[in-house]
Amino acid sequence: MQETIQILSEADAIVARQRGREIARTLGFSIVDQTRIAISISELARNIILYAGTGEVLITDLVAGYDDIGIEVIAADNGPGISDLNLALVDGYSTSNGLGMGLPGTKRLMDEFSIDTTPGVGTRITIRKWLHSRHF
Amino acid sequence: MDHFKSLRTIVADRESIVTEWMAQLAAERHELHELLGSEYIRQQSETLLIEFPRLTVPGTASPDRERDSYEGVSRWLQNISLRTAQHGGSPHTFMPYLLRLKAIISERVKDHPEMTMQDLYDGLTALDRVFDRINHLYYDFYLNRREQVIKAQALAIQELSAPVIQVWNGILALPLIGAIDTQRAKGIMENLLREVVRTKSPHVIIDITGVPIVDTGVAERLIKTVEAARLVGAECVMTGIRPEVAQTLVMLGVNLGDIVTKATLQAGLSYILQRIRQGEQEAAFADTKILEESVS
Repeated sequence: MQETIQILSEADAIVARQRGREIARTLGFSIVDQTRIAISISELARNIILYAGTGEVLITDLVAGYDDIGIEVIAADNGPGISDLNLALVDGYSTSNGLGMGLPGTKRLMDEFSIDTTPGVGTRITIRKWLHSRHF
Repeated sequence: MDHFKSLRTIVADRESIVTEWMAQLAAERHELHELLGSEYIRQQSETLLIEFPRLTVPGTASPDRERDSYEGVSRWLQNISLRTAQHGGSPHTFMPYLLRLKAIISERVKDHPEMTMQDLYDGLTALDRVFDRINHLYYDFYLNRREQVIKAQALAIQELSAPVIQVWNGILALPLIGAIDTQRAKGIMENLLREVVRTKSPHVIIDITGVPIVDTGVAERLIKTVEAARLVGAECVMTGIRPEVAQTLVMLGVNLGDIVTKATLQAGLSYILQRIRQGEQEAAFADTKILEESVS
């Protein structure tokens, strides 16, 4: 199962998070986890629109070991990149006059979180949530 | 050279083509046949064949001429596709009906007695051109209609989206449903502030039972709405935060600290009524005190 959603407008962010939620439900995630995944996708997709204008969200299911499955979301854009990664992950820090909770909040909602960013080239954020959260 | 000549000769035999066409549709119990009735389909099919020779006039290569000669067919397509849609049919029921005619005509082109290879080739090419064009027109029209419907629905949803309800004297309720994007949030806030001022209501209940996802963006918009309402003199109570929404909000680290929240709309309403009663009692108490002081 793999799905790519082009993010061109806010409406696409809604589509992306709905698909993410559906896939999470199919994989057997609880309602709270489904909501965590949907919100995380929403945060990342909104960041794409806010900072890069356009980009894409890639949702994939994962298998680990014998009995664990998970969901991976990659949010990629060719935007301006994040100039100070440490600051971007501080609660309340925002360059767009927002709440500044999107990235640090998403990190807390997920099991795995990584950012690959180059100023002027783009940003690629990968997040994962496991059904049995013991992979770190 | 008139590539369409053989086509025109063949299509002139309207009666026999329609009869064959209808017989085939009836034999396979074609969906459109069942949907719109055989008599109606027969009439429409005849109309199309009457229009058909106009499509096969040479020189239709010029865009203006082409538009003119396809005018009748466009109208015909609009009528029948609209009717199909009204009866719940899709393009998948319409196109096979039309392509059946193409099959019948190409069969006749092939069997035409005075056909050289060149004539056959020209005839079939011309037939392709005509049907490609009809196909194109049909889908254009169909997609246009679909887009109109989608736009109308989007507008309808936006209008429905944020009704402000006066539930009690001085108490407004704002039940929010669905996804809240920037555009909607703006409309919701404007609507609410206007109603607060118009009805002079000091209390507002914002109910988010119908909002499935509260991310930091939505939270921020809600907080701003509450702040703006406060500036025009109304105090907001937020109700209907679902358990999973509450959990994720805490994890996100969003602080709704200053906003009074209650589990349900009912709890929110009784909280406000209690506050109003308290206020009245305090006011009455203050009045008595002033009265006592002035007497003594």
